[in-house]
Amino acid sequence: MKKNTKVMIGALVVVAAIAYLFVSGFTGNTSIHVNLKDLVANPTAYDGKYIQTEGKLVNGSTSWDSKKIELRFLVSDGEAKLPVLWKDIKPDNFSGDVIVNISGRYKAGQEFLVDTLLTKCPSKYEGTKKDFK
Amino acid sequence: MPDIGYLSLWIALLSSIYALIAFVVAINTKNKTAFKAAKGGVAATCFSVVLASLILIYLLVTSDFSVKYVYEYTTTDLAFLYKISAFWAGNGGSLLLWALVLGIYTAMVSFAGKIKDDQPRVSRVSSILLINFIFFLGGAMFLSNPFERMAIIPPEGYGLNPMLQNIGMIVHPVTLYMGYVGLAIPFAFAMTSLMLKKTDDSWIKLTRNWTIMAWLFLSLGNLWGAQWAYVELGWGGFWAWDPVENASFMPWLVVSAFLHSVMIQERKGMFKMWNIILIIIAYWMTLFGTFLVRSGIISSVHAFPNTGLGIWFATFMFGMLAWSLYLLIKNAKVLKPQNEFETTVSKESSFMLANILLLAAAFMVFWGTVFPLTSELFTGVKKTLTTDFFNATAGPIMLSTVALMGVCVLIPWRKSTTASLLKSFTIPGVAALAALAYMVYAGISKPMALIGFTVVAFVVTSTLTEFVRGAYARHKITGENIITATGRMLIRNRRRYGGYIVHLGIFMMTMGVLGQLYKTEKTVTMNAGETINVSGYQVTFNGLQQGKEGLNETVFASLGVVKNGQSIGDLKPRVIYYPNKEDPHSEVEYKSTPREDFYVMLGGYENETNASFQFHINPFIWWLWMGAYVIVAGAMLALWPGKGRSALQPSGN
Repeated sequence: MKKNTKVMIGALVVVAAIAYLFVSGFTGNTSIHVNLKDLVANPTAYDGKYIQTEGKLVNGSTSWDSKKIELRFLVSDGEAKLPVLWKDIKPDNFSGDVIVNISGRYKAGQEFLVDTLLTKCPSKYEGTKKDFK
Repeated sequence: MPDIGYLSLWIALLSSIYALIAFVVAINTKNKTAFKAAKGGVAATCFSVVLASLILIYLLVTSDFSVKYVYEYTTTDLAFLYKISAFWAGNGGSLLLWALVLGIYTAMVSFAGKIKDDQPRVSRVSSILLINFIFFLGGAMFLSNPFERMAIIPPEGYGLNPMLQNIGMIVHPVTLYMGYVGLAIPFAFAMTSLMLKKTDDSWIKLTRNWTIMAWLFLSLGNLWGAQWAYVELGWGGFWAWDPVENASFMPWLVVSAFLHSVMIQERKGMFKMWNIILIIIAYWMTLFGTFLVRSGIISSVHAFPNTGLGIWFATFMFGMLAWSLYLLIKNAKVLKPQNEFETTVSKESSFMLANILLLAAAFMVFWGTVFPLTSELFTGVKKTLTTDFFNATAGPIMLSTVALMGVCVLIPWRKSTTASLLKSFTIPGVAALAALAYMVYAGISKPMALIGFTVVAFVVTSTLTEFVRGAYARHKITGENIITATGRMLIRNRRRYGGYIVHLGIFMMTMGVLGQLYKTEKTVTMNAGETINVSGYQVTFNGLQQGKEGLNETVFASLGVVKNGQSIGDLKPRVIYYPNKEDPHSEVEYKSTPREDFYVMLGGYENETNASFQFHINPFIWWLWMGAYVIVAGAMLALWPGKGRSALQPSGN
């Protein structure tokens, strides 16, 4: 066999292995973007799914249990309201008009226990803060 | 003064258009006067964009709030250096920064260096750079003018985002832009080479230092971004696979591949087409990155809010891509390889494998980044890929690349027998097994850690044996003592050993990354006087106090931290209150040792005797930062001017 051919075959094997790695990377690692309105209207449709959604923090809805390290708050798009539970400390700009981006495995009928909490200031480039579990 | 600034932008824009037209005339008519006029235009362009930049700095430093940009990003009490760095805090200023770097680089290419009188080359290269300049400056001037005025002059500015008040703000954007913009130059030379139908690799030789420099700046930009995230964002990590982080990582991967495959083109005349493809991809990715930040198309911690620049940049991006691919296909004939693979296992085949791996990693990162767009396009449902996707795909690929780095150095340029190759594996192999045995003995059980650190042991040893072998051979031949021999060897073969030092830096960074496998985290609320155990550290909370940082009020916690009976310090994680911002901003505290980082953030407080804290123990982070500096040192050695940098010596075996 020509040297070039041998090398090419070797390369193809490597590429195949990489392709396999790529495809298997998707399993369990995707999160679906859902409108807050959709989520609140059809909770069973998203039951058990890993989702990401966004909305405004409802002023005055925040409750912080410092003993249990539990932050509870409501996220709203103006109409629909979603109760959220974040088991970590309150992020920095968590008040007023802040937009909250959350992800987690959704369970219908319960408050949404999230493992990622991102805050964004709507007006200017105030930057965003990322919090991870 | 702001009017002069805006006027300078106009002069820069018009000069660049003038220069472009003159160059095109010079290309078509070969007229020397047109060429000279064009160069004059380049000088005027550079001069005016520098002037505009200096004026913007002046406005920022003197707090001229009649200018909207100054109002938006500064206050009178802002530290001097941050007033300057506010230049690139906003969209318009950052575009101007890009144009500034590009203007200076274009002038350097046109006026300095060996090729300044090579009319066919300089005309084409400069034209390509000027087209870039016009797009970036135009974007700034018409869609995000940094010199825009306020209707009413406010008494005080709005202020710089507290997250940006960090030394990272001063260095990270500038070095990153110098890296991004630097890649436009090898791209321009590559396209010129195609247009002139050159079959040689002169374009590579001419731009070698530009490429290494761009790569070096990208490395620094990525490093300082990661460090900044670590100390400023408070989540205890340094990389989140955020779209814009990815946008600066992908070109780095591609250019790393490029820096290796050009060595093969130089020595064996192979990979010619591949190298052109690589530089097109690398350059395109710099445009892609800037498009991502400004188009609002993907949500990211870094994104500027909707700027209207999406279409502007998308057009430019796809236009340049289409044009460069057209040139490539049209002139493919001149890129025929001059050689074949000498043996199946050879320097060139292992470099090819390195290229495949690096490009595969870049592909994974790219796919993950654009997935929200592609998934919506093809399935109607918008999905994101979590950080686990990136870690599960790019992670193993990069570890394989690290392993390959240790194997590659042992493969000689000339043909060799399998037996001699395996012989050179012996010492590194023993080191790897020793490391593995030690880890098993110490109770390490995570597979990724076992594999990862074994690989690190192998590759560090194999690379170090290259140094030892080379120094010893020189010592034997010249009779110099071993230290002199080592020093002279490094200096006489800067490219080679600079590269090996870069590799060692990467191995150190790998340790830092692998350390994350064993990171621990604890969130807890404490009362004053209480002591808790955090992963072997005894932490005592001594209450909260009020303080001041500049003109801002702070509340800080006093934490006594003890490990194995020894105090590691009195840490003061705190929150800072800014007058214009409703919420305070947390500042973390951490103590770093080569073994691990003790990192703590103040999360919230009820009163001065009760507060919540988030602790992170991050093993080996120190190696991540040190490794990056070793990379920088290696790259600087490789770049050092003078003799001893040219040839790649065949290794002693």
